[in-house]
Amino acid sequence: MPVYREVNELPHCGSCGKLVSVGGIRVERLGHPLLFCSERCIEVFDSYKVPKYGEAALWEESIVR
Amino acid sequence: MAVAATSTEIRTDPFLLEIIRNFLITTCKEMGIAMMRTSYSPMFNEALDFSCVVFDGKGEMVAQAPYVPAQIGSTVHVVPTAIAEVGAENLEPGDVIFTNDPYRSNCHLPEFVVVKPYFKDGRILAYTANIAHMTDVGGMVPAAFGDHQNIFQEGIRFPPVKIYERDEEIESVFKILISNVRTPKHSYGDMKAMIGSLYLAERRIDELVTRHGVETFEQCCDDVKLVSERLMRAEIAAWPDGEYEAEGLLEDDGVVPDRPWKIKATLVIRGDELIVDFTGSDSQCFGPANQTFGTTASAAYNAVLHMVSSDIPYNHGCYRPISVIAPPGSFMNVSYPGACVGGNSDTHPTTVDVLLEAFSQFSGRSSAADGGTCGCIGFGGQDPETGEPYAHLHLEGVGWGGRADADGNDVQFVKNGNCANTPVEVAEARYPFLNIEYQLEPGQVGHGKHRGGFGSRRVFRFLADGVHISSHTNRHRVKAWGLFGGGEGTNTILAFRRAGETEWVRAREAFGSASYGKFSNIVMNEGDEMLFVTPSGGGYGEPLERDPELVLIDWRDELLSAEQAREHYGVVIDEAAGSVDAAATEALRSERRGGAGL
Repeated sequence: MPVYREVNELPHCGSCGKLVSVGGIRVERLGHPLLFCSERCIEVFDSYKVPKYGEAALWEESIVR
Repeated sequence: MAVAATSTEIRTDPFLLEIIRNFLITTCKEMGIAMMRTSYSPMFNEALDFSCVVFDGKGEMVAQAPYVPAQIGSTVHVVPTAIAEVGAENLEPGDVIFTNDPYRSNCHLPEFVVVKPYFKDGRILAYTANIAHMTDVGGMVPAAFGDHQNIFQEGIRFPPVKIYERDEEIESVFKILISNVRTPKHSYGDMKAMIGSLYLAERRIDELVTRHGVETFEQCCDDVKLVSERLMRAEIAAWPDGEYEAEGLLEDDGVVPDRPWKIKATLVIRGDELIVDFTGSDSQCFGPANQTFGTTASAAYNAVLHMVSSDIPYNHGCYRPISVIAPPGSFMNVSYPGACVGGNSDTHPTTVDVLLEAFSQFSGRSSAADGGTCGCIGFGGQDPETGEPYAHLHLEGVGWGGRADADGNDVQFVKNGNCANTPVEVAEARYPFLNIEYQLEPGQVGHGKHRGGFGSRRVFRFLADGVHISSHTNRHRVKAWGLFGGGEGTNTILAFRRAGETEWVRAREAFGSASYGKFSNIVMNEGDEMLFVTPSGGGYGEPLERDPELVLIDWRDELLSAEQAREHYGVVIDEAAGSVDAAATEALRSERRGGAGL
């Protein structure tokens, strides 16, 4: 459907988990292209989530398809 | 999610900054007064379940009035999302954006969000926004709260769309909306009241900008946020670095019987920044108790703001040092098409209490858990006089938790809201029921040095056949917890009896629902009655340390008996004299503590 993408087709920020319906920052992390909603969320992912959770820091919902 | 910083230097004269800051807050308050006076539904003009905010041209909140904390916290996310999706470049003067989509950081479907850009010299200088709880949003129950299993059962959902264009209603959007709700006249009138408040705020901001100039206004917006950010960072920096965990349970989801759902929170303090991490919470539930991302972020802000000075101006700057982590598909961040209407009413206050428990590991400002429910009971049917459908959402206060320096509040709306109860006279004039009892529920409370607040007891009698009752309430099984030796609060009771019967029977036994507190469309008829006892709060500190004079006051107020005073507090009351027997009390307390006695 060209005019509307339902929310299950949209990515979530790789750090906070918020739905990112437009925009966002795409970066490579843990071997995947991930979407983040802000620079601050990238910093939290790198400095807190990855050291604490390792591979489990990665959410499928954050991978850019 | 943390919100980004924009500048580092405060440039505005401090007196002017304070004047403009207060002007904007007053504008938000005035928006609310306009809402109260022009809306159709008791949810707005009596319960005050709405919030009014002003954002700057960058899409960052600069002012709010003290209405509903849950709504205000979510606007930090849903308003920028709505603007971004429609596109600021696509907005013109007189446009209004509307959404109620919970997956886009809104709290739940009933929260309707409207946003209006304020233009000056051809560009957007600010946005005025209103988020308000619409009583009915269609779906399978009147007034939205029940035991839904997906978003489609909950009601109609709008992604961000324009509802006004160049000061004209977009008729097609209104048609879709009002043809999908039970109360079209009220819903239309309430929407117009919301949008009217935006126009009012726009006029006030224009007066401000005309008086002080565009440049000063924009600088003030930046500076007021920076002041809040600095104050918030100073508060966080004073807390000891480390990780502090806590867990709590939401007793059920309305679908799976007796299956509690875990909320796990970790506070991570790193210098002047705070991460609130909900990793480890349960997966999303099958019923409507899930939180959206907006609700979870709002609950985190809510808890933090309980822990810091109330002198900090509440705006975007407060939230900058706070990052939230809510895994998608979890109880803390529901994924489509999961239901979520009750996440904002019952899971939110429980989440705040879990966070306060984590804060209690290093801060004396925390409190015991509260009643943990908004007491949402929906009434609906056909008006016996007009034949038109009606929908009414009943809200009820609960007992709050005891705190370091005071008892918990009695029968007050939980921490996520700031709502009033609808006066008995108003409800009875509009809907087919009477309140035949309404009082504090004495004796039942979380005991402590500072006891929890009392809940209430109310009995409704129905005056017509076919009144549909639906509910999303909590603490029927899991009680409010105490802190530092304080006792647990008491349970909610929601029960029914048919006309002529004497025994109260709860929904599970009477109607076969999966839950005592979450169910849909129980039908009451003329003469039937419903009992609603709300939970009390948990106690704070050892009951044996409670000032005997406070126990005496509760006894005089008939909130506890002399026997309960002795049993729970070790206080001996001389009932004939109406005073505390100090010597007997000291002896009894010493004995209870295992001491040597007198």
